[in-house]
Amino acid sequence: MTGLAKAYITSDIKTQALQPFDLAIGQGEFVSVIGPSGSGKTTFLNIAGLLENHSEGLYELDGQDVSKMSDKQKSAYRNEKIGFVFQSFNLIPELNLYDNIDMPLRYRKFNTKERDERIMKALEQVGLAGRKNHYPTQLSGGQQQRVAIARAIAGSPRVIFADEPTGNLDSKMAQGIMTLLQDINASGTTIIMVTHDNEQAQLAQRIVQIKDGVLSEESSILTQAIA
Amino acid sequence: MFSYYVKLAMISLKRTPLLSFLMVMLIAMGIGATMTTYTVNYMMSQDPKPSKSDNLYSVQIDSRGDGVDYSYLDTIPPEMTYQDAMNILKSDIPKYQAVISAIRTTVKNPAKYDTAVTREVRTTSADFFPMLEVPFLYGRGWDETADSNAEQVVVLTKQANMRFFDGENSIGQSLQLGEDLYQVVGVLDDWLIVPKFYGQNNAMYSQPFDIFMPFSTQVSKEIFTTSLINISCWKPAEDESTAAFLASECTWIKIWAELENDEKKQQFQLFLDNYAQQQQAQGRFANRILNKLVSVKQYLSEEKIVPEDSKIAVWLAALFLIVCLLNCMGLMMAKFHGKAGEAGLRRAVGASRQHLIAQFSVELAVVGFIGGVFGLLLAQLGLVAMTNLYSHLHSSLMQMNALIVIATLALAVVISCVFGLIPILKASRVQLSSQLKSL
Repeated sequence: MTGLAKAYITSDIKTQALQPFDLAIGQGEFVSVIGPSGSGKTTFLNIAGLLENHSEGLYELDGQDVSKMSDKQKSAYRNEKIGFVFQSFNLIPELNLYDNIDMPLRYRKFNTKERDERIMKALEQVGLAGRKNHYPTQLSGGQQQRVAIARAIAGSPRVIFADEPTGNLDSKMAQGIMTLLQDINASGTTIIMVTHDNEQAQLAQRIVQIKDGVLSEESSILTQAIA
Repeated sequence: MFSYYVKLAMISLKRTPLLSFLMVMLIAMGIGATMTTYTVNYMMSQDPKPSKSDNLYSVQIDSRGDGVDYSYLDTIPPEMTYQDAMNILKSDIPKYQAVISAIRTTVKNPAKYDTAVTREVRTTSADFFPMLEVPFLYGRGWDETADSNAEQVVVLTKQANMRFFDGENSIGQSLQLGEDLYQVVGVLDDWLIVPKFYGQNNAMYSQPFDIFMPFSTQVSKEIFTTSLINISCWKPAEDESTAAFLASECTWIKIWAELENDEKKQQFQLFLDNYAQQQQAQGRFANRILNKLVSVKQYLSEEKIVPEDSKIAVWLAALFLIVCLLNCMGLMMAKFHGKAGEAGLRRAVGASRQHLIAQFSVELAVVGFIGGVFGLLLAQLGLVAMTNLYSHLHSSLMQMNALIVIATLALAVVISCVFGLIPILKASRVQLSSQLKSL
């Protein structure tokens, strides 16, 4: 991301959500994005996750300028290389766990066998293999977030964007989710996590702070450790 | 993906049962009303004799000599005078040709203690039965000898045979028409011909007359029922006698002919033209020489057999369907608005707009299909009601065939998707980042 900025313009009012910033994230990193409410964290995550367009600057994903991608290309990219974990889990209540995890795989044109293998593997990874036929409402918040994570990892994405993944969970459940994310990161998947919990942010290798739309690199745990 | 979308559609219907029910019922009511009226209209417009309607012709000659300039009219009345009918019947060019008229008389089985009932009787000639491929349960139609000798013979419909002979084989038995006894020579099997193009226009959609008898016998017995035929006299008969009426310029007899091919048609046309010229030379046909062989389809069109009321009813029902669909469109908007969160989520995990459009289209197609099924049931109820209301009409008019059933379901699916296009497009254009929080 080079000189990237986001402004919302409504009639004659321009709101600068993100001031121009530069940021590079490498494959396999675990980056926390912290900041107070309304600072622009989610806007940053939406732009990074191709859910929203930026207004200025250059954003390259895998060396590809995203501003030149069509809507269809962005959809395909999100489907194949990005996984999302949301604060409110965003599971479809009428679908069982299996079908919720199946959702992104359906757009990937995998055959039934491959989809089944991926779903079961993802469920095992989050510790819910025995509950594939349960519905989200039959699960606790922590379990629901595990399902959301299973949905995110089932397609073997290169990067997972997590927006306040523990925001709706108690500390014990939150701890479990963070451990799960760390395990996923350890297997080579990049994780970019928005949080306002400094303690959880410290579990990442890098911390990026956003305040009033201004993004700054706060620290690097690895760098500090080496120092 | 189609089966996946159908599965999602069924889940979605269960998710909002009331909304889904209202959508289905709106479509069902519109489809039901439209298909009820359309079925009647469609069945009225059917080819009555598909196997040979291209070879059947109404024989028409313009024998008028009233001095009026009819040149602006390309159509002529389908009836002709008795003398012209008898002369034309002499031609052996048509494979079959039959005169058509009708009388009303009292009928009873003389062997039973039963009161006489009034019945309409179709008077025709021997060729009528083979020409229209009329099926027989017992016996057969009379032959040309019976026509020539004006024999007192009759053919009964299956219903008439049931009424007068309790459905038993009545061949050779006597039936009393008026004061005279007639021998039964044939009993028809079930016979469906709609519209009944050969007879009077106002009876095209009613059941065939119960009894058939030779036209020649009607004439020899001097039985005439003016209310059952169209009589037009440009010159009054010389006196009130039957002989004067038969020799008059009054037109009241129809002739239908079967001509096997174009060559025969041209030959018969030439025969009619020569006949007309011959008559003109004798002082008749003073207005013009115009002879026509009008095919069944053309005849039905020229005579405006399908009533305008029926066509208007179809249009009104179609308007009602549109009103139902516009209301349904509002419900679709509400339904898809409620699915914005899911749409946003699906887009986030990789669905393209096309994926969402396909998913929602299948959902509406499922709603339309269910609406179509209920619409068919409502249409069926409507047709039963119409059958009871218009009991004098042929019941086959009120029955859907397989083509209409399939067309109904297809129509319901297509219109649901067409009227759902705007809600679908709107739903597929979700603002991803904002809708993700609304699931």
